[in-house]
Amino acid sequence: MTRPSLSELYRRQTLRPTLSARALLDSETAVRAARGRVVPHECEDVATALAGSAGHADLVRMLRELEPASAELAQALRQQAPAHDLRERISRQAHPRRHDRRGWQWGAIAAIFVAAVALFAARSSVHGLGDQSALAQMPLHAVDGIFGSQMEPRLAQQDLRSDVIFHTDNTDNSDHIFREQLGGG
Amino acid sequence: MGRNSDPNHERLQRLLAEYGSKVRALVASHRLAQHGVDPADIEQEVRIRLWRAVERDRSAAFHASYIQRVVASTVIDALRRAQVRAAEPLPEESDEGVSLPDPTVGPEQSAYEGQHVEQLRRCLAALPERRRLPISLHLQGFALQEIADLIGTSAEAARKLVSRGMDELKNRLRDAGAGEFDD
Repeated sequence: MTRPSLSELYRRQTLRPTLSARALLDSETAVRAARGRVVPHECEDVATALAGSAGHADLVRMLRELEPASAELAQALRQQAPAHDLRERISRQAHPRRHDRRGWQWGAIAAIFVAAVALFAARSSVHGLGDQSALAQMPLHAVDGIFGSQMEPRLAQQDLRSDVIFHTDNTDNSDHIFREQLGGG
Repeated sequence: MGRNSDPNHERLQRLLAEYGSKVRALVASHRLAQHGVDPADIEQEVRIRLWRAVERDRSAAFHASYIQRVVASTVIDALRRAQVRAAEPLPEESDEGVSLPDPTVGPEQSAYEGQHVEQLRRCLAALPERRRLPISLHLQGFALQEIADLIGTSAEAARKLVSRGMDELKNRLRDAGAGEFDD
Protein backbone atom coordinates (compact mmCIF):
# COMPACT_ATOMS: atom_id res chain seq x y z
CA MET A 1 0.00 0.00 0.00
CA THR A 2 1.38 3.41 -0.99
CA ARG A 3 1.84 5.88 1.79
CA PRO A 4 -0.23 9.04 1.58
CA SER A 5 1.61 12.14 0.46
CA LEU A 6 1.74 14.93 2.98
CA SER A 7 2.00 17.41 0.13
CA GLU A 8 -1.18 16.11 -1.50
CA LEU A 9 -3.02 16.19 1.81
CA TYR A 10 -1.85 19.70 2.53
CA ARG A 11 -2.82 20.98 -0.92
CA ARG A 12 -6.24 19.38 -0.55
CA GLN A 13 -6.57 21.28 2.68
CA THR A 14 -5.67 24.57 1.00
CA LEU A 15 -7.61 24.18 -2.24
CA ARG A 16 -9.93 26.79 -0.91
CA PRO A 17 -7.83 29.83 -0.05
CA THR A 18 -8.07 31.62 3.23
CA LEU A 19 -9.60 35.07 3.29
CA SER A 20 -6.20 36.59 4.04
CA ALA A 21 -4.71 34.87 0.97
CA ARG A 22 -7.45 36.23 -1.25
CA ALA A 23 -7.06 39.73 0.18
CA LEU A 24 -3.27 39.81 0.05
CA LEU A 25 -2.42 38.22 -3.24
CA ASP A 26 -3.12 40.66 -6.01
CA SER A 27 -1.37 40.51 -9.37
CA GLU A 28 1.38 42.90 -8.29
CA THR A 29 2.24 40.85 -5.21
CA ALA A 30 2.08 37.60 -7.16
CA VAL A 31 4.55 38.93 -9.75
CA ARG A 32 6.92 40.17 -7.04
CA ALA A 33 6.69 36.84 -5.22
CA ALA A 34 7.46 35.01 -8.47
CA ARG A 35 10.59 37.11 -8.94
CA GLY A 36 11.61 36.57 -5.32
CA ARG A 37 11.31 40.30 -4.64
CA VAL A 38 8.78 40.49 -1.88
CA VAL A 39 9.10 43.64 0.22
CA PRO A 40 10.82 42.61 3.48
CA HIS A 41 8.05 43.81 5.78
CA GLU A 42 5.50 41.87 3.69
CA CYS A 43 7.48 38.62 3.59
CA GLU A 44 5.70 36.83 6.38
CA ASP A 45 2.20 37.89 5.30
CA VAL A 46 2.80 36.95 1.66
CA ALA A 47 4.44 33.64 2.58
CA THR A 48 1.55 32.82 4.91
CA ALA A 49 -0.96 33.73 2.22
CA LEU A 50 0.80 31.51 -0.33
CA ALA A 51 1.05 28.68 2.16
CA GLY A 52 -2.71 28.98 2.67
CA SER A 53 -3.78 28.98 -0.99
CA ALA A 54 -2.86 26.21 -3.40
CA GLY A 55 -4.26 28.19 -6.33
CA HIS A 56 -2.14 31.26 -5.66
CA ALA A 57 0.92 29.11 -4.97
CA ASP A 58 0.45 27.43 -8.35
CA LEU A 59 0.05 30.83 -9.99
CA VAL A 60 3.28 32.16 -8.47
CA ARG A 61 5.23 29.12 -9.61
CA MET A 62 3.70 29.38 -13.06
CA LEU A 63 4.66 33.07 -13.27
CA ARG A 64 8.22 32.19 -12.35
CA GLU A 65 8.39 29.77 -15.25
CA LEU A 66 6.66 32.19 -17.60
CA GLU A 67 9.10 35.02 -16.93
CA PRO A 68 11.51 34.31 -19.85
CA ALA A 69 8.63 34.11 -22.33
CA SER A 70 7.24 37.40 -20.99
CA ALA A 71 10.64 39.04 -21.34
CA GLU A 72 10.86 37.79 -24.93
CA LEU A 73 7.43 39.13 -25.76
CA ALA A 74 8.23 42.50 -24.17
CA GLN A 75 11.39 42.70 -26.26
CA ALA A 76 9.50 41.85 -29.44
CA LEU A 77 6.85 44.47 -28.69
CA ARG A 78 9.51 47.10 -28.05
CA GLN A 79 11.06 46.31 -31.44
CA GLN A 80 7.68 46.63 -33.07
CA ALA A 81 6.95 50.01 -31.47
CA PRO A 82 9.53 52.08 -33.49
CA ALA A 83 8.17 50.65 -36.75
CA HIS A 84 4.76 51.86 -35.72
CA ASP A 85 6.11 55.30 -34.81
CA LEU A 86 7.64 55.61 -38.27
CA ARG A 87 4.37 54.65 -39.88
CA GLU A 88 2.54 57.23 -37.79
CA ARG A 89 5.03 59.90 -38.85
CA ILE A 90 4.55 59.01 -42.52
CA SER A 91 0.79 59.19 -42.18
CA ARG A 92 1.13 62.60 -40.50
CA GLN A 93 3.28 63.82 -43.40
CA ALA A 94 0.55 62.72 -45.78
CA HIS A 95 -1.57 65.60 -44.48
CA PRO A 96 0.73 68.63 -44.80
CA ARG A 97 -2.14 70.99 -45.70
CA ARG A 98 -3.18 71.08 -42.08
CA HIS A 99 0.15 72.70 -41.21
CA ASP A 100 -0.05 75.08 -44.20
CA ARG A 101 -3.53 76.16 -43.20
CA ARG A 102 -2.33 76.84 -39.69
CA GLY A 103 0.52 78.97 -41.14
CA TRP A 104 -1.94 81.01 -43.15
CA GLN A 105 -4.08 81.59 -40.09
CA TRP A 106 -1.14 82.96 -38.14
CA GLY A 107 -0.14 85.14 -41.11
CA ALA A 108 -3.64 86.58 -41.36
CA ILE A 109 -3.70 87.38 -37.63
CA ALA A 110 -0.31 89.10 -37.90
CA ALA A 111 -1.45 91.11 -40.95
CA ILE A 112 -4.59 92.28 -39.13
CA PHE A 113 -2.51 93.38 -36.16
CA VAL A 114 -0.06 95.31 -38.34
CA ALA A 115 -2.96 96.97 -40.19
CA ALA A 116 -4.57 97.98 -36.88
CA VAL A 117 -1.31 99.51 -35.61
CA ALA A 118 -0.79 101.38 -38.91
CA LEU A 119 -4.35 102.75 -38.82
CA PHE A 120 -3.92 103.94 -35.25
CA ALA A 121 -0.62 105.66 -36.09
CA ALA A 122 -2.15 107.35 -39.14
CA ARG A 123 -5.09 108.69 -37.14
CA SER A 124 -2.90 110.11 -34.41
CA SER A 125 -0.64 111.89 -36.97
CA VAL A 126 -3.69 113.51 -38.67
CA HIS A 127 -4.78 114.93 -35.29
CA GLY A 128 -1.29 116.49 -34.81
CA LEU A 129 -1.42 118.29 -38.18
CA GLY A 130 -4.84 119.71 -37.35
CA ASP A 131 -3.47 121.30 -34.22
CA GLN A 132 -0.69 122.93 -36.23
CA SER A 133 -3.17 124.49 -38.69
CA ALA A 134 -5.22 125.86 -35.79
CA LEU A 135 -2.11 127.57 -34.47
CA ALA A 136 -1.53 129.10 -37.83
CA GLN A 137 -5.04 130.49 -37.83
CA MET A 138 -4.62 132.25 -34.48
CA PRO A 139 -4.31 136.14 -34.56
CA LEU A 140 -0.70 137.19 -34.86
CA HIS A 141 -0.69 139.71 -32.02
CA ALA A 142 -1.93 137.18 -29.57
CA VAL A 143 0.74 134.72 -30.53
CA ASP A 144 3.89 136.80 -30.59
CA GLY A 145 4.06 140.28 -29.20
CA ILE A 146 7.73 140.78 -30.01
CA PHE A 147 7.54 140.45 -33.76
CA GLY A 148 4.08 141.78 -34.15
CA SER A 149 3.95 144.73 -36.52
CA GLN A 150 1.85 146.72 -34.05
CA MET A 151 4.67 146.68 -31.59
CA GLU A 152 6.98 148.74 -33.80
CA PRO A 153 5.44 152.19 -32.95
CA ARG A 154 5.64 151.36 -29.28
CA LEU A 155 9.28 150.53 -29.63
CA ALA A 156 9.79 153.84 -31.46
CA GLN A 157 8.09 155.78 -28.69
CA GLN A 158 10.05 154.16 -25.89
CA ASP A 159 12.02 156.38 -23.61
CA LEU A 160 15.32 157.25 -25.15
CA ARG A 161 16.97 156.87 -21.74
CA SER A 162 16.91 153.17 -22.15
CA ASP A 163 20.23 153.28 -23.87
CA VAL A 164 22.24 155.82 -21.97
CA ILE A 165 25.67 155.03 -23.33
CA PHE A 166 24.96 155.88 -26.96
CA HIS A 167 22.37 158.48 -26.33
CA THR A 168 23.32 161.73 -28.06
CA ASP A 169 21.70 164.10 -25.55
CA ASN A 170 23.42 162.58 -22.66
CA THR A 171 26.96 163.21 -23.64
CA ASP A 172 27.59 165.52 -20.72
CA ASN A 173 26.39 163.31 -17.99
CA SER A 174 26.97 159.77 -19.31
CA ASP A 175 30.64 159.67 -20.00
CA HIS A 176 33.02 161.80 -18.05
CA ILE A 177 36.16 159.95 -18.93
CA PHE A 178 36.55 161.53 -22.34
CA ARG A 179 35.45 165.03 -21.33
CA GLU A 180 37.64 167.86 -22.50
CA GLN A 181 37.57 169.47 -19.09
CA LEU A 182 39.04 166.44 -17.44
CA GLY A 183 41.85 166.51 -19.96
CA GLY A 184 42.43 170.25 -19.29
CA GLY A 185 41.94 170.25 -15.56
CA MET B 1 -5.47 48.23 -47.58
CA GLY B 2 -7.13 46.03 -44.97
CA ARG B 3 -5.78 45.87 -41.45
CA ASN B 4 -5.20 42.14 -41.62
CA SER B 5 -2.75 42.58 -44.48
CA ASP B 6 -0.65 44.99 -42.40
CA PRO B 7 2.65 43.16 -41.70
CA ASN B 8 2.93 44.69 -38.22
CA HIS B 9 -0.59 43.58 -37.41
CA GLU B 10 0.19 40.04 -38.56
CA ARG B 11 3.42 39.99 -36.58
CA LEU B 12 1.63 41.15 -33.44
CA GLN B 13 -1.00 38.47 -33.92
CA ARG B 14 1.70 35.84 -34.29
CA LEU B 15 3.59 37.05 -31.20
CA LEU B 16 0.48 37.02 -29.05
CA ALA B 17 -0.58 33.63 -30.37
CA GLU B 18 2.82 32.13 -29.49
CA TYR B 19 2.79 33.71 -26.06
CA GLY B 20 -0.82 32.65 -25.47
CA SER B 21 -0.01 29.04 -26.24
CA LYS B 22 2.87 29.12 -23.71
CA VAL B 23 0.55 30.55 -21.08
CA ARG B 24 -1.99 27.87 -21.81
CA ALA B 25 0.59 25.07 -21.50
CA LEU B 26 1.90 26.45 -18.20
CA VAL B 27 -1.58 26.92 -16.74
CA ALA B 28 -2.28 23.28 -17.55
CA SER B 29 1.05 21.96 -16.26
CA HIS B 30 0.77 23.87 -12.98
CA ARG B 31 -2.51 22.19 -12.13
CA LEU B 32 -4.49 25.41 -12.17
CA ALA B 33 -7.33 23.48 -13.80
CA GLN B 34 -7.65 21.76 -10.41
CA HIS B 35 -8.90 25.11 -9.09
CA GLY B 36 -11.56 25.51 -11.75
CA VAL B 37 -9.42 27.56 -14.12
CA ASP B 38 -9.74 26.73 -17.82
CA PRO B 39 -6.36 27.04 -19.61
CA ALA B 40 -8.05 27.86 -22.94
CA ASP B 41 -10.01 30.70 -21.31
CA ILE B 42 -6.85 32.08 -19.73
CA GLU B 43 -5.01 31.96 -23.06
CA GLN B 44 -7.85 33.78 -24.81
CA GLU B 45 -8.24 36.39 -22.08
CA VAL B 46 -4.50 37.09 -21.87
CA ARG B 47 -4.31 37.57 -25.63
CA ILE B 48 -7.26 39.95 -25.61
CA ARG B 49 -5.91 41.99 -22.70
CA LEU B 50 -2.46 42.28 -24.23
CA TRP B 51 -3.91 43.12 -27.63
CA ARG B 52 -5.96 45.94 -26.10
CA ALA B 53 -2.93 47.24 -24.21
CA VAL B 54 -0.86 47.33 -27.39
CA GLU B 55 -3.67 48.99 -29.35
CA ARG B 56 -4.15 51.57 -26.59
CA ASP B 57 -0.57 52.72 -26.77
CA ARG B 58 1.55 51.21 -29.50
CA SER B 59 4.54 53.37 -28.78
CA ALA B 60 4.63 52.31 -25.11
CA ALA B 61 7.65 50.33 -24.00
CA PHE B 62 6.23 47.08 -22.66
CA HIS B 63 8.11 45.49 -19.81
CA ALA B 64 8.12 41.85 -18.84
CA SER B 65 6.70 42.74 -15.43
CA TYR B 66 3.70 44.42 -17.07
CA ILE B 67 3.00 41.33 -19.18
CA GLN B 68 3.42 39.14 -16.11
CA ARG B 69 0.89 41.29 -14.25
CA VAL B 70 -1.59 40.90 -17.09
CA VAL B 71 -1.29 37.11 -16.82
CA ALA B 72 -1.44 37.20 -13.01
CA SER B 73 -4.55 39.35 -12.91
CA THR B 74 -6.24 37.15 -15.52
CA VAL B 75 -5.56 34.01 -13.48
CA ILE B 76 -6.53 35.66 -10.17
CA ASP B 77 -9.84 36.79 -11.70
CA ALA B 78 -10.46 33.26 -12.96
CA LEU B 79 -9.61 31.80 -9.53
CA ARG B 80 -12.07 34.19 -7.87
CA ARG B 81 -14.82 33.31 -10.31
CA ALA B 82 -14.17 29.60 -9.75
CA GLN B 83 -14.20 30.08 -5.99
CA VAL B 84 -17.46 32.00 -6.13
CA ARG B 85 -19.00 29.19 -8.18
CA ALA B 86 -17.70 26.58 -5.75
CA ALA B 87 -18.64 28.59 -2.68
CA GLU B 88 -22.27 29.11 -3.57
CA PRO B 89 -23.63 25.88 -2.07
CA LEU B 90 -21.36 26.02 1.01
CA PRO B 91 -23.05 27.22 4.18
CA GLU B 92 -20.25 29.10 5.94
CA GLU B 93 -16.75 30.21 5.31
CA SER B 94 -14.01 30.60 7.85
CA ASP B 95 -10.60 32.18 7.60
CA GLU B 96 -9.03 28.74 7.92
CA GLY B 97 -10.58 27.68 4.64
CA VAL B 98 -12.77 24.68 3.86
CA SER B 99 -11.80 21.65 1.75
CA LEU B 100 -13.72 21.19 -1.45
CA PRO B 101 -15.11 17.70 -2.04
CA ASP B 102 -13.27 15.90 -4.82
CA PRO B 103 -15.76 14.19 -7.16
CA THR B 104 -13.21 11.52 -8.20
CA VAL B 105 -12.81 10.26 -4.63
CA GLY B 106 -15.32 7.82 -3.09
CA PRO B 107 -17.04 8.51 0.23
CA GLU B 108 -14.90 6.05 2.26
CA GLN B 109 -11.66 7.32 0.88
CA SER B 110 -12.89 10.85 1.29
CA ALA B 111 -13.61 10.23 4.97
CA TYR B 112 -10.18 8.57 5.39
CA GLU B 113 -8.44 11.48 3.74
CA GLY B 114 -10.51 13.96 5.66
CA GLN B 115 -9.24 12.33 8.85
CA HIS B 116 -5.66 12.61 7.64
CA VAL B 117 -6.14 16.22 6.64
CA GLU B 118 -7.41 17.01 10.11
CA GLN B 119 -4.47 15.21 11.77
CA LEU B 120 -2.04 17.05 9.52
CA ARG B 121 -3.63 20.36 10.39
CA ARG B 122 -3.35 19.67 14.12
CA CYS B 123 0.28 18.49 13.90
CA LEU B 124 1.28 21.48 11.79
CA ALA B 125 -0.33 23.84 14.27
CA ALA B 126 1.69 22.20 17.05
CA LEU B 127 5.02 22.89 15.32
CA PRO B 128 7.14 25.88 16.37
CA GLU B 129 6.13 28.94 14.36
CA ARG B 130 9.62 29.33 12.93
CA ARG B 131 9.37 25.96 11.19
CA ARG B 132 5.69 25.95 10.37
CA LEU B 133 5.84 28.46 7.53
CA PRO B 134 8.78 26.90 5.61
CA ILE B 135 7.15 23.46 5.93
CA SER B 136 3.80 24.78 4.73
CA LEU B 137 5.49 26.33 1.69
CA HIS B 138 7.41 23.11 1.06
CA LEU B 139 4.19 21.09 1.21
CA GLN B 140 2.62 23.65 -1.12
CA GLY B 141 5.29 22.69 -3.67
CA PHE B 142 7.79 25.53 -3.46
CA ALA B 143 11.47 24.78 -4.03
CA LEU B 144 14.05 25.59 -1.35
CA GLN B 145 15.28 28.72 -3.13
CA GLU B 146 11.72 29.95 -3.55
CA ILE B 147 11.06 29.34 0.14
CA ALA B 148 14.25 31.20 1.02
CA ASP B 149 13.17 34.17 -1.13
CA LEU B 150 9.71 34.22 0.35
CA ILE B 151 10.70 34.06 4.00
CA GLY B 152 13.78 36.21 3.51
CA THR B 153 16.54 33.80 4.40
CA SER B 154 19.31 31.85 2.70
CA ALA B 155 18.68 28.65 0.76
CA GLU B 156 20.80 26.72 3.25
CA ALA B 157 18.81 28.05 6.21
CA ALA B 158 15.57 27.20 4.40
CA ARG B 159 16.84 23.66 3.73
CA LYS B 160 17.62 23.08 7.41
CA LEU B 161 14.28 24.49 8.53
CA VAL B 162 12.39 22.30 6.06
CA SER B 163 14.41 19.16 6.77
CA ARG B 164 14.10 19.36 10.55
CA GLY B 165 10.52 20.53 10.36
CA MET B 166 9.46 17.61 8.15
CA ASP B 167 11.11 15.12 10.51
CA GLU B 168 9.30 16.66 13.42
CA LEU B 169 5.97 16.70 11.56
CA LYS B 170 6.26 13.02 10.62
CA ASN B 171 7.14 12.09 14.20
CA ARG B 172 4.12 13.95 15.50
CA LEU B 173 1.83 12.27 12.97
CA ARG B 174 3.27 8.88 13.89
CA ASP B 175 2.77 9.60 17.58
CA ALA B 176 -0.81 10.67 16.85
CA GLY B 177 -1.42 7.25 15.26
CA ALA B 178 -1.82 8.61 11.71
CA GLY B 179 0.87 6.23 10.37
CA GLU B 180 3.65 6.85 7.90
CA PHE B 181 3.63 9.51 5.21
CA ASP B 182 5.68 10.50 2.20
CA ASP B 183 6.68 14.07 1.57
